[in-house]
Amino acid sequence: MNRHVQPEDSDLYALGALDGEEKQALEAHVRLCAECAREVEAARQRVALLGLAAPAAAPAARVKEELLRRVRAERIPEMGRAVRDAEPRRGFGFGWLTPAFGVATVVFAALAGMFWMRDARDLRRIHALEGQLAEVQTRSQEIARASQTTDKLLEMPTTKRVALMPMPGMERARGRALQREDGDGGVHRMAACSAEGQELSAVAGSDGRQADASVCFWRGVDRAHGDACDAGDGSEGVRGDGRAGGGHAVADGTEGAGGGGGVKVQGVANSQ
Amino acid sequence: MTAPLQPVPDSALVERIMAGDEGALSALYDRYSGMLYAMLLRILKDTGAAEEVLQDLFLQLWRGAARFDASRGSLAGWLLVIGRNRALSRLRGKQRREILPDPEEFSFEAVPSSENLEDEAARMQLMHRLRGAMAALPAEQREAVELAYFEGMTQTEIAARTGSPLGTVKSRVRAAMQTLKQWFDDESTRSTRRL
Repeated sequence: MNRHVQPEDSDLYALGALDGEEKQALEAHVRLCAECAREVEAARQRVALLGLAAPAAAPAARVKEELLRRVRAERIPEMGRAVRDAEPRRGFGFGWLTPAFGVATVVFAALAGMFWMRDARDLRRIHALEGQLAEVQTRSQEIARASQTTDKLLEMPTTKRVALMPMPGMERARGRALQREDGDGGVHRMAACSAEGQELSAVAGSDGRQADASVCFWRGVDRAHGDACDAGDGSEGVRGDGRAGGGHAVADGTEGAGGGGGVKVQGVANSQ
Repeated sequence: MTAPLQPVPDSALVERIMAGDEGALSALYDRYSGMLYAMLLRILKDTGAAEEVLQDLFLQLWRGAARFDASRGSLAGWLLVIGRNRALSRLRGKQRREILPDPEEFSFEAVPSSENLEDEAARMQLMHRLRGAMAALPAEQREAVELAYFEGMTQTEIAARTGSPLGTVKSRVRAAMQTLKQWFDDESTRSTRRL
């Protein structure tokens, strides 16, 4: 499609009503035309509002409670660190042996001894929990660092391949991504992902199921545009078979049947 | 006379989410969960599935709020687009691939929506009027649009479902979308006048 996208075609595209060739022609044009890309995006938001015509319904209160519980659960490592920082140091200093407390210390020494065994047990538990906390924080930092590195490398026009190894000790997950440069300095990025929660552009699903979708990101010099790829028939883009588990996902890529000069990309994505 | 209390803008709540404020997420959930859940339930026809997608949607907002750029589009629009996309993908499973791409998380280039969805009263009025506009469409046109929007069908699939010729279906969908676009344009004009 060389001519500009007609407004009604933008609406039909946003509605998802266009069939194969019409859809592909529109997408091909939009990749190269910032004006039409804006029109399609505007149509997407406008058409999305049709969802407001659905019969009124309200989610159960427990849905929100569960959401907030999940949010808090994600914050535990961060909160744990804050609590540790704020906690008074437990230690074996002698600052408390001042004359003012000398007598009291002797009197309570026997009582303290009675509780020593229990305190020691509690301390061991605390240390064990702190160890687990540190491990989670380390992994989170590693995942974040890997993600940032992947993104950074993917943005570099000279990048040919990005490969990050799966996190040790965590279940491996698969997905596919493709980065392909075009002649205008833009980069095609395609990644398999499921329809369920993603963290990065190169991601796999978080629900443990096979991903059934693929997303292609086109990055031009002055704009970024999300675009669809048919991941299933190999005619364009990549086949999507992302699968995740164990707190992280790996997306690795392969060249689509329609691509030339494809670059294999592998990255680690964080998922729940 | 006391001026009506203005709702906290979505952009301000998103900023608070970025700072780790659960209360802001809670406020946005209260604001948009109803309209989103209604749409999700209409698509999925399953309360459990609709609740799951709804929860994941807000969890993604919590995790990725930093990527939202209010100058490039409305949060409500983003939530509707992503929510519909996910629900349709889930509904159709492996029968078909992604219906439409997610608009690259929060970074999409749409012009800001003139529809005021932050204000509850305005949102309710818009929903009411939109239902009226849909109801005013000829039955065949409304059916075609609903099959496309809520069931993710292409025009060919609609033709197969309804037993109508493809050309007829195309005409119906196109006519319906032209009517609705005009309706949205009129709404925008009215909305601008009210500001």
